[in-house]
Amino acid sequence: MSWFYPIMSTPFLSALLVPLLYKRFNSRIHTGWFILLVPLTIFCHLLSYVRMIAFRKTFNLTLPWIPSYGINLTVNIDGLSFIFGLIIAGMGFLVVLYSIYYMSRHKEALDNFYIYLLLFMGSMLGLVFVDNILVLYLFWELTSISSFLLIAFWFERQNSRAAAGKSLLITIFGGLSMLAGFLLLHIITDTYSIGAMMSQAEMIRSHSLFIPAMILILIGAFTKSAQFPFSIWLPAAMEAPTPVSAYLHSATMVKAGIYLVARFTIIFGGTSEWFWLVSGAGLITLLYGSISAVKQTDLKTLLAYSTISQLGLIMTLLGLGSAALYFDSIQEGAIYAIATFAAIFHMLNHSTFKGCLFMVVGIIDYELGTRDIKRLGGLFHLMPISFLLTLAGSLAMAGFPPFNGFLSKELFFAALLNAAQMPIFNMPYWGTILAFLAWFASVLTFVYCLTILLKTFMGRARGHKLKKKPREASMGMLISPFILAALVIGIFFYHQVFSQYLLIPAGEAVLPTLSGSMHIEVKAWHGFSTELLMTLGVIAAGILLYITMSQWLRIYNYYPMGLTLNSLYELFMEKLEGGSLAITKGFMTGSVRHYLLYILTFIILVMGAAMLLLKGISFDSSQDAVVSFYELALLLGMIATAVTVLLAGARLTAVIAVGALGFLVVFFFVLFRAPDLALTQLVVETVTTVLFLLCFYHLPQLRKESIPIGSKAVNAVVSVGVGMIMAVVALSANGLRSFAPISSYYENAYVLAGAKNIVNAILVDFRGFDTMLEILVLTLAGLGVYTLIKLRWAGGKEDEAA
Amino acid sequence: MGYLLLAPEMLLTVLGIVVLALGLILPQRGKKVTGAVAMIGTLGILVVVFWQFGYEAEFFQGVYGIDAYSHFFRVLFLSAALIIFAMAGNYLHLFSERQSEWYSLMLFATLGMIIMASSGDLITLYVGMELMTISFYILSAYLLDDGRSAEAGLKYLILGALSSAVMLFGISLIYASSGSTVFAVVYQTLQAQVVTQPVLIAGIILLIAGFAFKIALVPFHMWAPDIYQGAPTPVTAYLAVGSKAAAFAALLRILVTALPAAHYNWTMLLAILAAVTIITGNLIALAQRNVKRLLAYSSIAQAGYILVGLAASNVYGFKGVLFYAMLYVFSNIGAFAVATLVETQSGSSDFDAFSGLAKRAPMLAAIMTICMLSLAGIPPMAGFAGKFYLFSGAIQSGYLWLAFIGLIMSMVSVYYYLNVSRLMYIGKSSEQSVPVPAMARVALLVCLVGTLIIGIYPQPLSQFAEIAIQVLY
Repeated sequence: MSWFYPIMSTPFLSALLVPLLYKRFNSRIHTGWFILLVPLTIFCHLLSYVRMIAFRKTFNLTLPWIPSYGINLTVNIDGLSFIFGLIIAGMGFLVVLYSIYYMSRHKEALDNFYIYLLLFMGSMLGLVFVDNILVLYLFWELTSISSFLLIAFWFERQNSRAAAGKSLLITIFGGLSMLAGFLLLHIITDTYSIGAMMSQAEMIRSHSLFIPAMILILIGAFTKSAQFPFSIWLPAAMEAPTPVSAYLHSATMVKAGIYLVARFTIIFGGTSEWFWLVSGAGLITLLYGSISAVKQTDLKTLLAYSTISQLGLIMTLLGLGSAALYFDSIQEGAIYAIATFAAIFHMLNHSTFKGCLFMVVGIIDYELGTRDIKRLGGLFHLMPISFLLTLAGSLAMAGFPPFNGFLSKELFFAALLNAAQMPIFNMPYWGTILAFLAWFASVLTFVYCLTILLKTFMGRARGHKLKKKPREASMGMLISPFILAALVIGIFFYHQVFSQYLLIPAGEAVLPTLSGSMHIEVKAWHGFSTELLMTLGVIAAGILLYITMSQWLRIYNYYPMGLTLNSLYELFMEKLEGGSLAITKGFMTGSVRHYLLYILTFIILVMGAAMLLLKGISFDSSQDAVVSFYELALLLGMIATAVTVLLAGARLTAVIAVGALGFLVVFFFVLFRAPDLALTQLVVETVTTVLFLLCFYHLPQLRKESIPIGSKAVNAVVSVGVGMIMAVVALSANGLRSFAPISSYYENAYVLAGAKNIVNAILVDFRGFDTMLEILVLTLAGLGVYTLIKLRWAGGKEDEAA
Repeated sequence: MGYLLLAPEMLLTVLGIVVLALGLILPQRGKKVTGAVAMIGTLGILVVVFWQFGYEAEFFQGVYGIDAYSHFFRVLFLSAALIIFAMAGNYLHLFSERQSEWYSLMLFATLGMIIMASSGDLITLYVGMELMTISFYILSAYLLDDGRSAEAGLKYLILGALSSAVMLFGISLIYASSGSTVFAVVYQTLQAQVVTQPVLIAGIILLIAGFAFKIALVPFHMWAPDIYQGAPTPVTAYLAVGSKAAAFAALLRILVTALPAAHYNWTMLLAILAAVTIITGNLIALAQRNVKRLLAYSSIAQAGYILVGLAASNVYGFKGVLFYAMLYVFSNIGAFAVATLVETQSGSSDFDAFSGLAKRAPMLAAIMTICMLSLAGIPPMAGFAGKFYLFSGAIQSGYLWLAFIGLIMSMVSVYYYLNVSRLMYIGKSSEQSVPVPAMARVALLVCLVGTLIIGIYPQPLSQFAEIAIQVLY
């Protein structure tokens, strides 16, 4: 038994302990200090796999869970899950450390906060390591739920609650769509294991359910990774406390979609559909995110849009890289695999610089009480360390040396240029346009990076607009962003180490067919290549646009508000409820008549269809006795009384008609020589008629309702229909002679019971037990009636006495 | 064990009568004792059932039989009744001096359900069903001063009588084509016949229609919302959980042991009914603004999901039916329990009454949310495991489209279930706290733990259901 399972379950287990720790120690020690141990342990444990990963070994473990359905907690540690695991645990550590200073232990409900955070950490780790798609789905939804809880952490705020609801709705919708895709994959491959599916990739691609499965799974990935048009939840989610934004909504959870796409590249990749869907959605998102980010004035919202655009960038790269699987020859494929490598590299870089930026914005918010850049400015002197950290973060995002973003951005351009020359997937036509669009988005990225840096820290200080007096943050709060900034620079200089141990193994896990051939040269300087010229172009155009910003920013005002994604979302929700209400009003009227109409019509239709389709209508009267005159007369009499009930104007008439109908049945029994039945029926009829009359005496006067002639016609049609269909079925059943009639059994009456009267034999011999119990029931009922009457007398006396 | 195996049924009858009698004998102040007697008695009977595990026997030539399948449903009904007794607590003050009769009727309804699940004969089944239904007619109308409660009772009576008539007609047609009402004999007779008889098919359709009413399948669902809203909330909870499970139990037993799908293709009819039910139930539930009504519509949809397992007509699907019926006890009663407590405090079950519940009663809001997530089928709550069994059964039988309709509609259901959660966590709150009596606290805790445990570790319940299903083959 490996240590892996116990260590990976520490987030869940320690979440159970949090309330105890909080209650016991909160007055003295911040709960975060205990929590800090959890990601630290996991991080150290994961590091022990570094050598193994670097040598391209993968690692499998299985723990049975629901073995009867083939659902096991199988984990698969390879390059891809490993790098994700490190980011989750590492960022987790930094975020918890940061939160110790950010979340006040006197004011906030820290127990809830850390429970949600640990829940998220555990599920996110589970998500990247499990091999079983159903367990993956389970963790997927758990991350959505914990994200919901964390966004709504300050639930007193109206915005938090709306944002939490929106994000949950969108991500759970995506998750269910992904589950549907997973089920399709299961139908194709008959397994729930991703590993086993990979070995059947060829077969999956030729299956007719391939495209639906791909689209459904992609919807799941796109909702989680905030791709256009599902991106609206991410800016709203910025209502969460900043440590949460830094952790979930930039570094980890929103990368789950990236993980999923990377993981399934081996199955879906190499087809033009996957290529275009993934890189197309990524590119649109990249553009949408950077165009929207430029006009933002709230720092966190700006960062959210920039996250959307960066996620789009990574998605584009994954799409481009999947083309490598199209080629059979390893050399050709390796050219495009640069894109995959770049995707993973940029994913890592994004986690570092965006995490750093979020934490600094959190510091600004914490110290100054605002994140609005219209109120900020000139903080350079007051918060020099924060300024330096922002400098590193934003320039890395803008793709400036000597920061890690520069390297991955260069690779991004290189991958685009490679792809533009690709002979497949219509790329000869579209390649250049793609490259230009991506370049344009990078220019905008550069612009908003300058906005973050310059509008906050340069220019005039506007102290009078602030609630608090600005000052540098405490040391503790600066540690985490400082570590991230150090990484931003460290990765730039030591990129060889990172690619050797982390990035290339991860890239090869995405594209296993290319393993061993991924020799990617990451260089800070490779002469005046096209990539470098593109970067220089970005800087020049970016500075130009930044200077002229006030001129062109007005263009945004011309965009109609009604067409923004948010208002479309609201509109859709409104229409959905409206439609539902209309359906409800339409046929849930509350009127029993309507209900009966629907039910009876349905019965008529189904029964009629069944009888017609099966050719079941048959009347076999050959064995029936001849109908006598008396029987006919009785029948006509019964029909007459039944019609009288319908047409009766007064209640009394109706009751008497019903009674008459019953008495006519008595005559039938007499005709067929069943005197005991006749007698019983006579008594029952008499009693019911009397009871009816007694009841009606207490009821209010019958109100003559005027029923519209249309309703009457419908009533008539439906009731006649029911009568007809039942009569037809009964008559058809009469023709059945599939087994011997039971009447011969009663010939035993004389032989076995020695009775000349069959009825007597039935009552006392064949069904003696029944008769006894019937007598018992009658006795009990009689007692009941007697008691009631007695009580009534007693009540009457009391009334008199009163 | 012989006739001792029938001890739970007999004890339940005796308990019902004793509770009724106690209500007559005891003075006004002492009537609370009847509730305690009913609860302790039910718990005792549940223990007896557990003790009888593994034994089986057949009585009166197959008319009634106790087997693992019966044990499963006995546990289900008795636990449901027990949880509802515990949660009802304060609500019963609305019934003033008629509490003991309420307990007694609930016990008789439970007896009816148990008989339905264990009977091997159409007539016995019918008698059990009437015992249950007649008890519910009275229970629905139990709030004498509330016009809606009376309306609920009356509507249930009128529509219920119709459905009984339809069902009896179906039974008589099945009898006409097979010569018996005992499942095993029906099976043997029909096995020997080569030709499918239209009259028999008509009988099966009418029989299913009768059950469809009890289960509230579209288009037989109309009664459900009015009655669920009008009836006292604990009764509604039992109606939604117990009555449905009983109808499913009986239907499943008949379809498997008397009318196997191989011969009479009823699966398509059930699949269509399930699809229509899931779609209609969910779409209507979207716009509801009253929690009880919302739960009523959603429980229509939930019945549709269970029916998917029946339509699948393989071991997976059937197992799913049992599994879901059991988890439904915890999740749905949990939701109803919270609704009951809120209603007792505020006198209303409209959305407004739940606004900001998280601040007034965080525990209640959390339990409601977890139960609703379970009903929506979100892991790691029990509902996900249940839906997984049901849908994978359907997929195996080739009803992929049905599984997809179920999935898509689950997405829709997330919206309205979460609407309630959002309201509880987000809405403006009044200052009144919601009192939770000790017994209700226990009931809530059982529901919560049940929902979570079944979701996280479904294996034991899954095995229990599998053992129960194996008996039928």
